[in-house]
Amino acid sequence: MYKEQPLILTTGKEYLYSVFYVPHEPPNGGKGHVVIICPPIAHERNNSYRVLVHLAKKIAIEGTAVVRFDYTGTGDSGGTFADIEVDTCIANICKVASVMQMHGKITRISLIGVRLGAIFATIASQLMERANDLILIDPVIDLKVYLKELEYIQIINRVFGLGKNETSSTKAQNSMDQHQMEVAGYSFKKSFLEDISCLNRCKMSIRPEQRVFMLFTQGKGVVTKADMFYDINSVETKVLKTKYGSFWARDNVYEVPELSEEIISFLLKS
Amino acid sequence: MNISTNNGISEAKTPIQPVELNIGQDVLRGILREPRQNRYPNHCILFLAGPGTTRCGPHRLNWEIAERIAQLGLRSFRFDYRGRGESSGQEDNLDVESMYEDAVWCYNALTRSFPLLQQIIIIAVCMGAISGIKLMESNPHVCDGIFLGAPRYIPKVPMAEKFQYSKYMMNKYLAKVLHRETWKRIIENKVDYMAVVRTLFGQYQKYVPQYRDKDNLLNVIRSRMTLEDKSSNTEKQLLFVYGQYDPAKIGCMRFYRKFCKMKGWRYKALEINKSDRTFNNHKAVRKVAEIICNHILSICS
Repeated sequence: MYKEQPLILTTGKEYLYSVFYVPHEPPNGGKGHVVIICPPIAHERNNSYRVLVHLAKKIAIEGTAVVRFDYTGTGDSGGTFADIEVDTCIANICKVASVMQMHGKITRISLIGVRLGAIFATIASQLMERANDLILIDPVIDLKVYLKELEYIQIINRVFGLGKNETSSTKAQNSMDQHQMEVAGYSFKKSFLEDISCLNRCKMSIRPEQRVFMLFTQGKGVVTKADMFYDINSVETKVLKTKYGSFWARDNVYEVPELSEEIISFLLKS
Repeated sequence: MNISTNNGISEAKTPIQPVELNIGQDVLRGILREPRQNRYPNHCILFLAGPGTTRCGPHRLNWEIAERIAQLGLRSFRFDYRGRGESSGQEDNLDVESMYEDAVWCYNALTRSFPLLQQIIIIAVCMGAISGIKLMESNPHVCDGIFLGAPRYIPKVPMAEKFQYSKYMMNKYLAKVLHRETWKRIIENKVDYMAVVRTLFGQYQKYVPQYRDKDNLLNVIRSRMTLEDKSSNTEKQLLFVYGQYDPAKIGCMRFYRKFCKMKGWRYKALEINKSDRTFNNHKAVRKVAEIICNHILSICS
């Protein structure tokens, strides 16, 4: 049905780990079509990892090549998490796309982004030569809410471990580090968070020839908020009701069949 | 079955080599991290992750340790269990037995692929420690184990069940352990109380139902102990690493100290960090990685 081929790409000093799912016999429509999955980061990456693996396999079974990868500083790629920058993540996506184009006759590229990965995918699609489709799953719409969610997770994780509460000395230590901010156990670079905040203030632009599909698992309320960030009149949106709700928020969800079905049907439409 | 490191395509020579191991119909996927200059060709590190994480470990703990020991000149191998990460297999089929089977498969692949290998050091996190102990028991190449947050047992009755019928007890418990501000926000309804509770105990119950029908770990380990082998084997050594406020610390340390005494193994415990676990944030992970690397250097030299 398909072959799983790990790909190690070099990006400057670091290396990028990716996996290429190559269908054995793609149908006529599948040849020259590559789907690039842009994952979220931090705990959302861990929670959604297996779901995205299953998604990639299902798309490959339908006859379309898929690439999954880890951003620099995450997963099996080189670099540390503290060095993550918005530019680096976007460059990683562009790198993967360019390698795909170098190795084969690619006529169509689709980007699937989850959470922050959706933001990165949208920006990368503006910079790439070719980005025909954008599938955005629960894009981060409000950075303040995103950071609050991380903070709550930090509190809950601490409670779950029945640990001591953050002491005043620990708080002082955290605030002393001018360049980093620790949230939910992840050492974010402050400049990274500032860059995301800047992106959040302006509307994301979409190319006229791009087909965009936005999937929301958080409910209808988020769709109206998304209008502030994306011009949702020009995109196809859908609120997906699944058994588990937002799969990237839970760490015991391994597969979301409804998500795969929606994405595959969108990809096969054109 | 050998480790084939030619599965990956790379633009240039990179330090990590993707690996595939076939177990029946399933495929185990892992990463072999080769150092630039292998100063210890007789040694290799095998990472056994916990059931809830991928081969990178919590907050990339395994990756961090692998990178540091590669700079010291040691080879390491980390993999995803069947049903986790990139490995194939059903997620629900993962249990202590399948984790051990996967660990044995990787162990055999390493010993066959690297004939010079004389010693494999195991670094195990959480329930990976169970497989680690069993590997140490049954294999002569495995003499050293470093266990982080190793559990003593999986309770038959999870904490949540004690509280679910008593909101009063739940409130009392949460008021005690939650940060004052969080509790204040819950009371002012700024944080969804049930969401906190669900998240707290939803996580806890995730693995308990799976193991609820199985004996508690103490019995599982005891049933597999080769009690006939009472000869003192002081070549084997276990190092247990715990966070200062790890709730499992006291019980686990006593249990494993007793266990090592029974087996005649050397036992060492190390308490680090002021955080709850040894690997719940990046700073802790970096500190733990440094300590473990120093310990491994002392083993190899």
